[in-house]
Amino acid sequence: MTLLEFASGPALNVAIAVFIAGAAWRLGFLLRMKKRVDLSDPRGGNETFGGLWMIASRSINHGPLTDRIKAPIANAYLMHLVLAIVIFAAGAHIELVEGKFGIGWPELPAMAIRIATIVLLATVAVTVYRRLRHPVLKLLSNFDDWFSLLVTALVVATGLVSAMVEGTDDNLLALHVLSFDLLLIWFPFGKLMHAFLIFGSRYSTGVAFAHKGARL
Amino acid sequence: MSDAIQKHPLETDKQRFGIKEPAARFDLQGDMSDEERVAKAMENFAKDINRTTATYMESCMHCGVCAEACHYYAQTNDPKYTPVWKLEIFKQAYKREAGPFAFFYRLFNLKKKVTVEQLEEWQELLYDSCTMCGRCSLVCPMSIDIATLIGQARHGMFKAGLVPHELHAVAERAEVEGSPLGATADVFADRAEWMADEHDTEVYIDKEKADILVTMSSIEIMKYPNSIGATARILNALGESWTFRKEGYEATNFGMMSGNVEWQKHSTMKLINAAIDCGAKLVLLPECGHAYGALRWQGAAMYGKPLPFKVMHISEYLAEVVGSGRLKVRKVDQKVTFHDPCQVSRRGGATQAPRTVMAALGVDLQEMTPGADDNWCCGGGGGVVTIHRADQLRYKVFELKMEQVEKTGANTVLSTCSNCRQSINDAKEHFNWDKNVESLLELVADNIVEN
Repeated sequence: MTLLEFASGPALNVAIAVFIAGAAWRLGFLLRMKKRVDLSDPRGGNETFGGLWMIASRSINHGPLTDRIKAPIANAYLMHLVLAIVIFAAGAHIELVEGKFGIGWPELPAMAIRIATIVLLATVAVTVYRRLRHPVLKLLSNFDDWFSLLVTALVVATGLVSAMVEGTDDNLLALHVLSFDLLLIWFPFGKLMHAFLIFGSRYSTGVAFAHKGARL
Repeated sequence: MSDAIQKHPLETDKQRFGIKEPAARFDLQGDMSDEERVAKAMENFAKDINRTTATYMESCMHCGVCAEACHYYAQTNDPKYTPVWKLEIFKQAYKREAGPFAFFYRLFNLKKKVTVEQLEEWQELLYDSCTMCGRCSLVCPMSIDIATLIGQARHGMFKAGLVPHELHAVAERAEVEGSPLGATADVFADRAEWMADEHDTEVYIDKEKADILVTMSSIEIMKYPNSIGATARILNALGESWTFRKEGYEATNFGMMSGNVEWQKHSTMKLINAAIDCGAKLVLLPECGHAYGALRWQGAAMYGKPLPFKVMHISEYLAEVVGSGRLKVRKVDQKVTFHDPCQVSRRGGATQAPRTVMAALGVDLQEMTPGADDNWCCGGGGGVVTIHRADQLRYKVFELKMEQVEKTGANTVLSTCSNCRQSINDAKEHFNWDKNVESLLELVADNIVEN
């Protein structure tokens, strides 16, 4: 078995299993907790709508922010946008999913993916720089923040290199897949879970605010 | 009178009502070992963890955006005032003791046990530098309601005996005496009688049956008693059936602000029982922000079932009667700005009500920027105004409000919260500021068109 076969075979299977089990455990833990029942007389807004609206609107409306935070927020938006492009529109990724699950969809040209990947790495670099320099982020940052950034950057960088180097050998590609395996294993335990938690957190606040008639 | 009250005399001749600045601070209450304090803090914090709050604890991405919305960080640039950092030790404890991967955190000591020294250090962050204004919740990309978590952390801090001296003292006075500022039932009755004479109107106390139970805040009773007369004049002009009840007249809830759930419940139940006893269909809350949150949004939880009456902030009631044309008011030719109390507007959902009233009065309203739901807090909420050691920070924060008001060009700030009014008046004296803060309720009462 080659390193690539190992990375995309048993290692990937284990990583997917850990990812699913870990994420299910963390989300299931929250869902099993007692639900707060608000007995107060609602003001009259539709609470389910409020929750759903908060999920959508908080992606656009960032409330009373000062100018100095607008650039970092734009960087975060850009990071997530290009991340989605790289993950879901790269031909190799679609092939992998198709091979494993039998589902495929159209891909973007390789050059577009390369540009998106470079932009993605740049946004990660900006994020790292800010975490190192900004007093608030320096105070808040912990192992989870740094490790999550590291595994993300590792996957992106190895993917870019393996895609850009002509006649790349399998070991380079294997490194990319192995780093992705690592990301999947880490995902449920750290802050990357915000990809799922964002729905619960925003929905809960949206429901509570809609109950009170407060601005969403 | 209890020892506690004798030890903590009130200072009622100052703009800021509360207990006198203590010669020595006693920010540590009770006789407990350090281990007991930590255990009690964590146990009482954990009691309130539910699906929503646990999701919040799991969701923070450490993006730091909340700092930008906090008046303490905005005015100091000190990162320790980042709202979510104020919860750091409780997040630490949650992950280690109660989260989904607590086992691993403990096994590998990935999160250390919280120490009493940390709790003592965090007292300033949880009390002196958070008014629970909820501005941070508006900007958090994950929509974490940090103010709710701060309230929950205060529950733990209270049980651990780690409440700032003055806040604990006024909360204890409220529990023992019935009012944090000495507005006992007899004092209230005297002042109500005085206001009836001053305003030449009827003030009803302890009517057996009434449709509306009216309540006041201790700050209004002791410092702004015209609120009593103004409310009475409006209700009498409308021909309402209303009363105060001596067993439940005081809407202030220092139990809630200090973090003592039992005391919070006790204060709330006095109002609920008084309303039930007189058959009230409506409990009218005074110009007080946190009183609104305590009964309107948390009252039913204290009661254990939905409240058998409606609850309204006075501004909501005024908007209803003015908006429907039941109460006619004269036009007021005055340029004003409006300070939204955080607990009524941003966190209470009644942002539009005072604007409806001001539109009826015809005042030239100059909104602050940012305004309404995005308004900066006055800096005195959440019990902060009682804490003497927090004064300099509070004044620093108030500079934001001064700047906002100055930009509107208005000389008068209207508000619908007596605590905001008190905080603004105290800061006005400190800065020798030339603006005035007035009550919207009193402005309405002064301009009633009698039929």
